[in-house]
Amino acid sequence: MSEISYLTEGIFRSDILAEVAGQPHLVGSRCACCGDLRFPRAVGCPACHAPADQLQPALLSPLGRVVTATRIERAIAPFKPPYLLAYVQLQEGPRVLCQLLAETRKPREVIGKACELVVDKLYEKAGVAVSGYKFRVQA
Amino acid sequence: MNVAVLGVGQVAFTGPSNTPMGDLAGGAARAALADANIAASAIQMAAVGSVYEHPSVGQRVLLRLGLNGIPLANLENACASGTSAAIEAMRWIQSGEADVALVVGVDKMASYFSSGPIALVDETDIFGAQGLTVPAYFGLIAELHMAEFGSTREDFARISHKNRGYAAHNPYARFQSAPSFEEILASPIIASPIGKFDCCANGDGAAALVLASESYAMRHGGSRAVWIRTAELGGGVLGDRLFDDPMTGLAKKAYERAGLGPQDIQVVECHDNFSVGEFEAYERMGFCAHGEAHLYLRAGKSQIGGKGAAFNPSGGLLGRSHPAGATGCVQIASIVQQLRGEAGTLQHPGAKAGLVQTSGGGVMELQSNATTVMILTV
Repeated sequence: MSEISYLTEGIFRSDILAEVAGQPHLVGSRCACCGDLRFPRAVGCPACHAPADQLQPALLSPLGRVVTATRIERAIAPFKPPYLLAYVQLQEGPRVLCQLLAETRKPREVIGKACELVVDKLYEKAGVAVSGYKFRVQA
Repeated sequence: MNVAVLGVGQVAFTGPSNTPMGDLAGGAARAALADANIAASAIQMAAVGSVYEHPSVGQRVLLRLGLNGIPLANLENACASGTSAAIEAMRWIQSGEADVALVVGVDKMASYFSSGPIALVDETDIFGAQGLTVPAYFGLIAELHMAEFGSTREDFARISHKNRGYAAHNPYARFQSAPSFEEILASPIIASPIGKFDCCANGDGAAALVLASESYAMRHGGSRAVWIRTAELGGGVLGDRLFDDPMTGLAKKAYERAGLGPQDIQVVECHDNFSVGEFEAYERMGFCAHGEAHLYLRAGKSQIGGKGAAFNPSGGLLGRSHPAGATGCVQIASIVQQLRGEAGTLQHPGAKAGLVQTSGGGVMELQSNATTVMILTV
C-alpha cells in the first residue's frame, strides 16, 4: 500500500492513527491534569478521573517490543487465519494489542523482539480492503 | 455476619436443547428448596443471574415457583452473573432485609450460539478490529508464561484432562466422557498454545442456592449449613491481564476478611473458561509462587486427593460446559457439596474450607467486567 488512507468511519480514524512526516504514529491520550498516558485513548482519565476534555491527543512512538504473541488459527470472519496477534510495549509505556508482520509464525521467535509500526491491510469487507495498524518485527 | 447456604440444586447441563429457560431455572430452584427442606413460601427475596436471557428473567422464573410480590434483583455481570446474584442476596441477608433468599443462575448459551469463538461486539471495538478472539486473550497469557517460565502446551492439556476426567463422574456435567491426554494434545490449535479441548463449550443449564441468616439456619437444619465467610465483588479494571488480574486483590481481601489463607483452603472452583484460567489462578490467588503454576500442576497438587487444593472437582467449565448465568451458582453448589462431604466419588478428603472464583469478561479494554471471590467453610 503506497499511501496511508484514513477511513472516515469505523475505528481507523485520524484520532487513532496519524501520519507525521511520512511515518505513521498511533494516537493515544495524555491527561492534562495528571499526565496519564493511554492507548487506546481514554474517554475519562482512569488515573485521576478528569473528564474527556482534559485528555489531549498524544502521538506515540512507532517503536516497541513484543511482550507476548499468539498464533490464531481459528478466527472470526472476516479475519483469515493464521496470523500472529501480540501485545507490543511502546517505549513510553502503553501496551498495544495488534497483529504482527513477521518472518516466522512461531510466537516464541518474536517474543522480546523490537518492532515498528506499519499500516497494512487487516481484512476485506464487501470487497473493500480495510487497513489499520500492525507492527513489523525487526529481523 | 455469616450467611448460610442451606440448599443447592441444579439441572443437568446440556448442549442445545428445547427445554424452556423457565423449566431449567424452575427445576434448579425446586431442587435447591428440596435440598434446604423449606417451602417456596419461606423465600423473602430472590436474585437471578443471567447474561443472554431476555429481560425480566427473574420474574419469569419466580412465576414457575408460584412466587410473586417478593423483592427481586436481576443481575447481569457477564460470566460472573451467578456469583454476583449470590453476593446480592447475601448482602440482603446481612443487612437484615431478608432472612431467607433464593439465588438462581440460568442461561441457554448452547442454544443461542453456534460453536466456535464468540464474536466480539462489532468492528468499532478497537480490539475486535485487530482480530482478537477470547481464546486468543488466554493464548497471549499462556505464551508469555511458556517463554518466561518454561511451561508447555502439555501443562494446559493436563488441566483439560483433569477437569474432563472429573466431569465424567459428575452426572450433571454436559460432558460425560473424557478425551485421552493424547486426544487433547492432538486437537486443533485455536490460538496457540490453546487447543480445542482447552476451551469450554457453551451450555444450557441452571443452578440455584437457598441462603439464610445465621438465626434462621440454626432453626432450620443448621447441621448441614455451609457458611459464606466472605464474598468480594470487583468491577471492571482498565488494562490487560498480562501481569495483573482483579482476582489477586480480591483473593487477598477475602483471605484477610475470612482470617484464612490459601494454605487453609482445600477445594477451589475457579473460572476455567480456558485451561489457562485455572493455570493462572494457582499463581494469582497465592496457591503457588509467581511463575510456578506448571510445577504446582505437575506435582498433582491441584488434583482431588493431592497435596494442594483440589481445583474444579466438579469438572469446571471445561467439563460441565458454560451456561454463563448458571456457572457461578453451580461453582458454589459444588463447594457446598464438597464441604458437606456429599461429593461422592469426586470428594476431596478433609475439605473444610473452599473458595469460588468467577471472572466475567467481554469489554476487552478491561481486565474483566466483574470478578468475584467467595470463601466458604463448614
